[in-house]
Amino acid sequence: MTRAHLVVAAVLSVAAPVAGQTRSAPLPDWSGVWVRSFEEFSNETDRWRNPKDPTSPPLSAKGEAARAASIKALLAQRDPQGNAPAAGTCGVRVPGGMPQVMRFAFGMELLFTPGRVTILLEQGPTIRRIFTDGRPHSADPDPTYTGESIGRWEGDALVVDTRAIRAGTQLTGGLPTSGEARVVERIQRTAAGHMRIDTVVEDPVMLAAPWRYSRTYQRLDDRWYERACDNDRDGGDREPDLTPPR
Amino acid sequence: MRATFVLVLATIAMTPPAIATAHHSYAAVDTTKRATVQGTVTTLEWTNPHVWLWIAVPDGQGGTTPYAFESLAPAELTRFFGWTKRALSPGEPVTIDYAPFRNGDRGGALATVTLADGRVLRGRQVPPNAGPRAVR
Repeated sequence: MTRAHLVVAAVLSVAAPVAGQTRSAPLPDWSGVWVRSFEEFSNETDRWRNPKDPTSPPLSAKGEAARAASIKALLAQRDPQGNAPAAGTCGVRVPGGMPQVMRFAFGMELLFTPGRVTILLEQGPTIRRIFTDGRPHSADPDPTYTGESIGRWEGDALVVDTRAIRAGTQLTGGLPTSGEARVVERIQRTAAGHMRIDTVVEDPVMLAAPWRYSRTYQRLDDRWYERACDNDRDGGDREPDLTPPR
Repeated sequence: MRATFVLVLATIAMTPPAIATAHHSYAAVDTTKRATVQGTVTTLEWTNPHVWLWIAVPDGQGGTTPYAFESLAPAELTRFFGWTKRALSPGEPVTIDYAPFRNGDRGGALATVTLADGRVLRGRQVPPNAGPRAVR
């Protein structure tokens, strides 16, 4: 290759952006695995077991009834549809979803590409797609477990508005969404290696008022763990299957 | 064996009786009770959703009886409690502190594993100050 060829190649490589992408705005780098502290997760779990705790979801009458029915089904070793929990699938036949999937002390990665943020969660595993290209919410979206997420930047904070969450997706353990849930998250780096997510959950059927909570995360120099449920010996609160391993 | 094993110096706080709010609610174990048993490791099932530790406990008649203990997920045990998939080896003598199964099955929710040299691995019930490691 001659020197002229090299110059031409260099010019082309700069001047020919990939279709649909822009080179003007540098993309954030939030690389690493983000994890809540186990203590924070565990304390939250304990608090939310008490419906009178001020941080627990402010349930409507319908929400209280739905949660009671769900717990009754769990204790009867049934899934919300009345089926016996399936072995080997963590006791559920449906994936995790918003907002419950965000609450576990498992790893999370945030990937930034033009017009989009992708959150990969070990829990599930789950993929969340957040569109930041200026599009509005769909007029008639198909409800899904992760919902339809539209994001925008407010300064350094990524504000994510998630709608179209499929009815029955968990608000938190034992509390289903109604199909009218909306989740707004404010995702913000607070210091080197630290991140906070402030969340407001609205569900006019299951909640009597907006439910607000904040969580903190730390960035770990860590690997990614697969979380496929291949040894679910007591999922769905079955009596444990104690067949010894071979 | 890794040097990051966490020594437990304080008594481990017992969790309150569980209410079923998730698919793993501890409903199968009585968290108000605590038991201890000694045996040798047979298998460490390094699996999801949770790790299971199997040990052989002498039955007093020259044989052994299997006991099974449920812990947390591999990711949680590694990040928060310093385990690895090679933390325990078959044949290794251990003392297990646990909350027993309600139905009388042998085993339960793993609280701690005490190794022959006195080191302690924490299991499923959560003591205070269990934070992430290696923050940058």
